[in-house]
Amino acid sequence: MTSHVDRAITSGRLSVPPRSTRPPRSLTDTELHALLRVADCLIPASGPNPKASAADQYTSFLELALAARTDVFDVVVDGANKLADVAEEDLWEALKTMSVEDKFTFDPLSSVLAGAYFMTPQVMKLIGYPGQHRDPAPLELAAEEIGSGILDPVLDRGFIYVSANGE
Amino acid sequence: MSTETSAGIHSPVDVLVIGAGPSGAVVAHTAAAAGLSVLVLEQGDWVNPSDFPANHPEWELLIQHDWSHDPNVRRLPSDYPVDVSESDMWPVMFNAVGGSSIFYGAEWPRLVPSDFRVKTVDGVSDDWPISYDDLKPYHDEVDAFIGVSGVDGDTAYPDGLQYPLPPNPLGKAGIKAAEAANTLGWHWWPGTNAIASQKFKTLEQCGRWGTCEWGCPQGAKASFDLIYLPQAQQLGAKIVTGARVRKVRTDEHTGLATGAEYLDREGAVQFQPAGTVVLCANGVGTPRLLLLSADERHPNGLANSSDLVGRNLMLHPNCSALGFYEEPLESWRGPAGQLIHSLQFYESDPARGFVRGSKMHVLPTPGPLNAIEAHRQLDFEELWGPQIHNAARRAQNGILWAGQVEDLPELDNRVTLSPDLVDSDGLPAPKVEYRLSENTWANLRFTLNRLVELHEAAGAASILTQEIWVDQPGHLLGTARMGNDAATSVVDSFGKTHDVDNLYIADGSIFVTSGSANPTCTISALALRVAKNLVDDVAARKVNA
Repeated sequence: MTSHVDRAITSGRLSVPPRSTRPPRSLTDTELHALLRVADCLIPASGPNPKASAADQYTSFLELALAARTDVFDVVVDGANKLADVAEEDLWEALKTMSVEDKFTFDPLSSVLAGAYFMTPQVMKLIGYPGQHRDPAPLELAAEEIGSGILDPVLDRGFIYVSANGE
Repeated sequence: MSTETSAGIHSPVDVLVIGAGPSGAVVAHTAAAAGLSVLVLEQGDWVNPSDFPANHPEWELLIQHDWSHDPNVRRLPSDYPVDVSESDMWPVMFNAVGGSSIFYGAEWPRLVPSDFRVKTVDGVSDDWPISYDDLKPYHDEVDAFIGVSGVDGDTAYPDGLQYPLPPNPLGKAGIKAAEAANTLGWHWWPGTNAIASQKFKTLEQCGRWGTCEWGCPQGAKASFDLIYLPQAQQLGAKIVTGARVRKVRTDEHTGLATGAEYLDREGAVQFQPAGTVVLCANGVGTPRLLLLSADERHPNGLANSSDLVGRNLMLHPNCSALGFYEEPLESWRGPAGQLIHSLQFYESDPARGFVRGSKMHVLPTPGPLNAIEAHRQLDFEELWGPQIHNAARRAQNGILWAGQVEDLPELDNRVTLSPDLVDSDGLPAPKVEYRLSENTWANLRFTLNRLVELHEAAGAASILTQEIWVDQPGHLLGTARMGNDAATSVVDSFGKTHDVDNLYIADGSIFVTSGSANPTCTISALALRVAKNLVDDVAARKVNA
C-alpha cells in the first residue's frame, strides 16, 4: 500500500500549507551563477526589458521563487547545474532539447526563473501588471455598463429555455 | 445516553453532519435553526482569508504546488489521495471547513427546466424525481441567505429569476466578450456569482482580486466557512475539525445508523452517536465512506442494495479558448467568478450530432506566469527568448472563454476503493474510473469551436485552445443518485437513503444528471430541501419514540 502524507508529522494546521520566504538552503555561488545563466538565456534583454539577472532585485525574488517551490528545489538547482558546462553559444539549443526530452526538469526550472522575473517591481511595471490587489468597484459601475444597452439584443430575442412542463 | 469510547465520552446529537462544505453548512444551519442539536465532523480545519496565496507576491508559484487544486499534488495533512490510475480526468477537491467552496469560482447558475427531464426531452439517461419548479423556492431561499449577485430575468430561464444583490461589474473583458456574443446573435448574461457586490452579513464587498479559485483574500466570496456555518454556530451547531470519518455504524437489530467512527488529530478512534446521520462529503468522499462502512449486514457497502453507490460519476469536462487582444483589458481584475455566461448552446439540438449541451463563461486571466504556463503548448522559440516579454504582456489583455459540458451518467464511471493506495490514517483511498464518452467528446469539440468563434468575432490577436482540462474537474456528481425506485437509486428525492431510514445524503452525489451549470448552486438548494425534510423526520421520530 502507498501512503499519501503523514498527518501526524504536522503539529500545525491541516488545511493551510506553511509559507516560507527562504529556500530550503542557501545557494552556493556556483549554483546561483548556473541559475542566472539559464535565466538570462530564457529571458534575454529585449527593447526596454532587461535580461533576467539585470532586473532590479532579481536574486532576491529568485530566492522567494525557490522558497515557493521547495518541492522542486533540487530539480531546479540540479537542472541548472547540469547545463553549467554547456558552452554559451550552445545553451539555447540545450534548453530547447531539455524542454522536449526532460519536461520534469525544464518546466519547474523555467517556471521558477520566469516567476522570479515577473515578481520584480521593475518588470511588473514594464509589462503593465499591477499585481493582484484589493480594488473594489464603484457601486454604480455595473449599472452603468448594463445601462449602456449592451444587453438589449439578448432581451429583444426573448426566452430561449426549453419548457419541460415542470417549471 | 452517552457512549464511552477509547478516547472519551461523547453525548449523542440529533443530527450528525459529515463534511463541512456547502451542503454540510446548509444542513447544519437548517437543523440548528429548528432547535436540533447538531455536530459537524470535518477532516480539515479553518482557513483564513489572510492565508490565501494571492496575499503574497509569489502567488503564481504557490498555486502550482502548495495551493494546487489537486490533492494529489498539494498533499496537505487534511487531504486524502485519489487513485486516478484508470481515469481520463483527475477530480479535485479541498478539504477544510468550507470544503471545496474555498477554491470554487462561486459561479452561481441554476439548472434549467430540461435538466430535470433529460429522459423525457432527449430520450437518454433518466429524469429527476423533482422538477425545476420543485427546487426553485429552495434556490430562492439560499440565494437570499448568501447574497447572490446578478441581474434578474436571464432569458435562458423561466420568468421569475431574481437576485438579492446587484451584479458585479462586467469589466473590460466582460464587455468585450458580450459584444462578441451580440455580434453573433447569441445569448449571454451578466455573470451570476455568489460573490457579494456589496457588504452582506458576514461577507465583505468584492475587492476584485481576481483569484477567487485560489481563495478570496477579501472574504467576499460565499465560501461556506464564511456564510451559513458562522450562522449555524451562532445557533448552537458544533464543528469538530481534524476529524476523519472512517465508518458509519448501524444497529444490527434495527438497521438504523447509530453514529460515526472517526480518527481525531492524534489518530485516536472516536465514536460520535447520533439520531440522524447526513453525509456531505462530496461525490467522491461520500461513496468512499459508504463503501468503507461495509460490514456483515452490508457486505457491498452501506445503503448500496442497488449497487449504485459510486456509479454514474459525472465530472463536467471543461474546454477553453484563451484569447489575447491588442487593447488593454485589465485582465488581472476580478471577480473570477464569471464575468458573463452564455447558455446559447445549453439545450440539445439534433443537428449537432450529440445530446445535451454546454455552458460557456468568461473569466479574467490574472498573472503573467499563468499566461506563460498557458503558452507552453507553443514551440520553444515562440515562448522563450525575446518572445517571453510579449507573452507576459498579453496576460493583461486576455479573455478566457471556458466551456463546461454535460456528461451523461454511465455505470462504469465510478468511485470504488483503491486496492493500492491509502490515506495517512491507513484508510483505502477512493479510486476513480472515468472515461469520456463519444457524446461528451463531440460536445467538447463543438463547444470549443464556438469559444474560438467568440474570440474571432471579438478580434482576438491570438487564441490558445485546450480541448479538455484533465486536472480541473471539481464538480463531483451522481455517485448516490436520487430516485423513487430503490432498485435504481440510492436516495429518495429528499436525500434519504432507501436502505437506512435515518441516513441521508445531501451533496452532489444525489444528482441524477449533471446539466452543465456549475453545481454548487443546485447542491445548496438540494441540501436545503433535504435538511428541511429531515427536520420533519426527526420531529416525527421523536414523537414516535
